[in-house]
Amino acid sequence: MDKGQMKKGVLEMCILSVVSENDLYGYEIMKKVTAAFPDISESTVYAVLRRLNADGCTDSYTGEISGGPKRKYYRITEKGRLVLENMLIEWRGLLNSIEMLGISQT
Amino acid sequence: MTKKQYISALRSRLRFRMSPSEINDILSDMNECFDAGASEGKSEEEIAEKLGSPKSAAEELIAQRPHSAGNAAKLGEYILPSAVSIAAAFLLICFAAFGKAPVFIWYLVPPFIWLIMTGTGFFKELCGQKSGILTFIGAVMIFAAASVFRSFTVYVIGKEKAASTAAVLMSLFICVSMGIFAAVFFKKGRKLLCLLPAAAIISAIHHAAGFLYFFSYSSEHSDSLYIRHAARYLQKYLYLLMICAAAYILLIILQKSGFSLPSMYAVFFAALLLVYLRQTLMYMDPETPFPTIKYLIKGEEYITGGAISAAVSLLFGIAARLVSKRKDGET
Repeated sequence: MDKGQMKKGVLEMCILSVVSENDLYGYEIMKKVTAAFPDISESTVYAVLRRLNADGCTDSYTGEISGGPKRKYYRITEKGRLVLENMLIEWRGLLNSIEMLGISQT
Repeated sequence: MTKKQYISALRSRLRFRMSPSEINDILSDMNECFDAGASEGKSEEEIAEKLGSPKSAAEELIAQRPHSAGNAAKLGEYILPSAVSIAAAFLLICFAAFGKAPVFIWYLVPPFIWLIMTGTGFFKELCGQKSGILTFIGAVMIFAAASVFRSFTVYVIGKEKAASTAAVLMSLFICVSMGIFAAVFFKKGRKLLCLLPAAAIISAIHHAAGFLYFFSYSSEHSDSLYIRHAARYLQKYLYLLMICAAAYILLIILQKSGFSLPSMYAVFFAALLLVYLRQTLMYMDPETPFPTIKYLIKGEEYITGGAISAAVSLLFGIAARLVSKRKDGET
């Protein structure tokens, strides 16, 4: 398995988690996530975000900050919250398993 | 890479692989990214670099596309249009090169091209499948009406002169309507698609020129000699131009259907060769078993036309490749 694929799964979780805190516009999400994963390009984040949106994990609406330009904002849906919860449970389980094998996390 | 370059590179990478509404949606999001980045004081080049190359962006977007049933479905999508394109390329070149095909063939060629365009997703990409089909029906109706009008003048009025006038008028009508299509395509920034109505216009002028020639031939007046020659040469060159345009359009279709450039040219030249052989056989003296030089030369006109059209389309292809390579190089 190449490292890109492993990361992409995690990417979904990260994007959902970022959006779950508060509604953000596309560019903000891309910037936030790529700041944490510098070797992933913004268009990759956008592609995953687009799919999450099509799957109904998030939805988008057009909003504007006072006087600013109109932007497409993304917010998490109920389905998205469930998916994120399941992902986090799985992720924590994975971390536990790794720890049990004695693989150090540092 | 500037915003404009990035957007157009991404558009051309996504074209034919996603629906027009999807592409527009993505590009408007990308526009927003550039605007948002610009409001933070970043340069267009910086934003484009952060986004990653248009090539990898397109690949990601296609890979992450919802409901994409994988490669098998994609291949299936291409088989039918590809088969249609090859058959169409062959038929069109045959009809065009023979020139001896019945007149009604010329009425069929333009709607036929429209049909191929619709089938291969040209319209789907441009304005959605539904309006593509509507445009096609519209084009067929124009040509059907023109054919009925012409038949009416020939068989009911029974005047060849009237028929010629009708043909010229009809050609004018086709030119105007196709010119409108060309203008719409041009305005939408689809300059390549302009070749399509252009081919139809050339076909119409060619048709009118043929009638003028026929009409002047049947009149005994000596002044008509000049018109006759002029019409004849006009017809000949327009005819070559039309083959060039048709060949180029077909090559684009084949390329967009997933064919490599060399295989397209192989198909194209095979078709030309067949046409040439058939032409030579047609002129062959039944008493000589092999085609003599004289008969081979008779087919020359057709091979010249074919070679010119192939060379022109090849040049177009090379130029297009160079341009797209230079664009890629900038990323």
